[in-house]
Amino acid sequence: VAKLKEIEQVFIYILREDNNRDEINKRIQQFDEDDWRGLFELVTKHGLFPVFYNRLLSLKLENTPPEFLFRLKNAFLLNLQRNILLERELSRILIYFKELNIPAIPLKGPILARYLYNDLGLRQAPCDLDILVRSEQFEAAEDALSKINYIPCNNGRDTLFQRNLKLKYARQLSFSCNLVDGTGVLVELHVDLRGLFVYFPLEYFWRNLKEFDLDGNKILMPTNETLLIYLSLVSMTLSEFIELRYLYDIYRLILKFKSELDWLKITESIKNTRHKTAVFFSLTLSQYFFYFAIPKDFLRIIKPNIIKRFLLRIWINKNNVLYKRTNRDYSWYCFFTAWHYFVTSYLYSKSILDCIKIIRSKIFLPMNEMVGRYSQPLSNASRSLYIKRLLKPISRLLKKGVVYGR
Amino acid sequence: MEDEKILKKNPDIVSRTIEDETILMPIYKTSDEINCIYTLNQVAARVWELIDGKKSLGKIKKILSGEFASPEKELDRELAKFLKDLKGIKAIKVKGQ
Repeated sequence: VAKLKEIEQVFIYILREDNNRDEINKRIQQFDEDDWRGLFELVTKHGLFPVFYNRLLSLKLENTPPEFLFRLKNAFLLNLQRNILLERELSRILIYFKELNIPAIPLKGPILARYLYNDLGLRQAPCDLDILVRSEQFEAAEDALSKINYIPCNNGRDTLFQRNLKLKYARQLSFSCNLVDGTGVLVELHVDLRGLFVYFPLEYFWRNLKEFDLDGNKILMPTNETLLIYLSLVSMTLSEFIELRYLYDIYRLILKFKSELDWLKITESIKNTRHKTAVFFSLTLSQYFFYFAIPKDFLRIIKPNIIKRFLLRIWINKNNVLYKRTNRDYSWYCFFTAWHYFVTSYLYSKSILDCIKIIRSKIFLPMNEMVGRYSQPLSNASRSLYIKRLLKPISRLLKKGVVYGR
Repeated sequence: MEDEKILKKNPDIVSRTIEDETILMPIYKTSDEINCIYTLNQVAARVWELIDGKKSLGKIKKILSGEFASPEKELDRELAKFLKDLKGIKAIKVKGQ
């Protein structure tokens, strides 16, 4: 953290539980209007504004501009309002599913706010509720949703064939419910954990569950160990860049359950899988930002080799975490694509053969994977276009000797 | 007669105390009250706390007069105004109605 810029340091220090109030006070004394604006942008961009605001209040810092606090407070309250609504809806759905004997697991969302932060207001509200059900019970879950006033997102205009196609390939369907005029909720019903960089075995997820008491209702959720692995993988979904808010979730998980976490179990679950590098990297990066203890033996076992560690450091450094790729231009995209297809494949492979397998599957993506990515079936022409686009950085490299540049 | 009434909160309105301020928020925002958040003063916050669906209005008045130094008439006036506001935003209703 010492290598970070001043506003970044303050941002991270405030989020940490072990921070030094006097030290932060000293740093913010030097802040001008631009710094406060920059800090606000950083906090909101990473979706960490609710917990940041809460930490700010508990620290009772001096000389915090009232407008800065006012803007954060407004954002905090609106977020809290949304989370309360979503949690209430989630409970309503899960209770109804339970009555019908449909096991369902809420993924992320308000449940994590309660579980990791002990407070609904402290985690950014998602735009929808993600619920995982078993594929054999999907239809029953779909019927149940329709009985509590949820309708398919396109107002049921899909034919049965289209609906089945979407479910087969996208492995999820969306439903919406207009609760009152002006307030609606979107539910995404999943049968798979798609969107993760490395495939998470679904059966493992279903086997490692526990019950969580949500205001008297028993809710199914992953065990702490599974949640840690899941969050490590989830943090890499946004174009395979680490998301700081998930690193913070990991920090909160470890902070809250440090004495209960079974590191041996995590080691056993991941040591021979492709998840190993993701977990190693998310954990060490979260540790770098927020500072907490991870058992040395655990890190030693899952530590990737020296080349992988070197590549990881180039890929995921504080700049890539603090400033998302959306700020970058097309040249960065080209570079990123080449990086994505070759380097990250190497990083996550178990061996050279495994690496070749990953690259092949990424370039010649199976149709079902491709449909999952684009949420709709693609024609052969679109598929060729997709492959062509992926190969563009390589042809650029061969022709001009550079991967990126205008 | 008025003092015997028992008030109860609307479960769709939640409260939260932030920076010593009690805030009321409707969970379901209707189109005419998008982003409506109400801030309560000290007396109003205490009244909101006392409304529990069990205490009568008379009992709430009695507790308030023991806690606040304001003259009884002023307290009554303030309480009546606050309850009218709360009813206006559908935050409370009389039990049994």
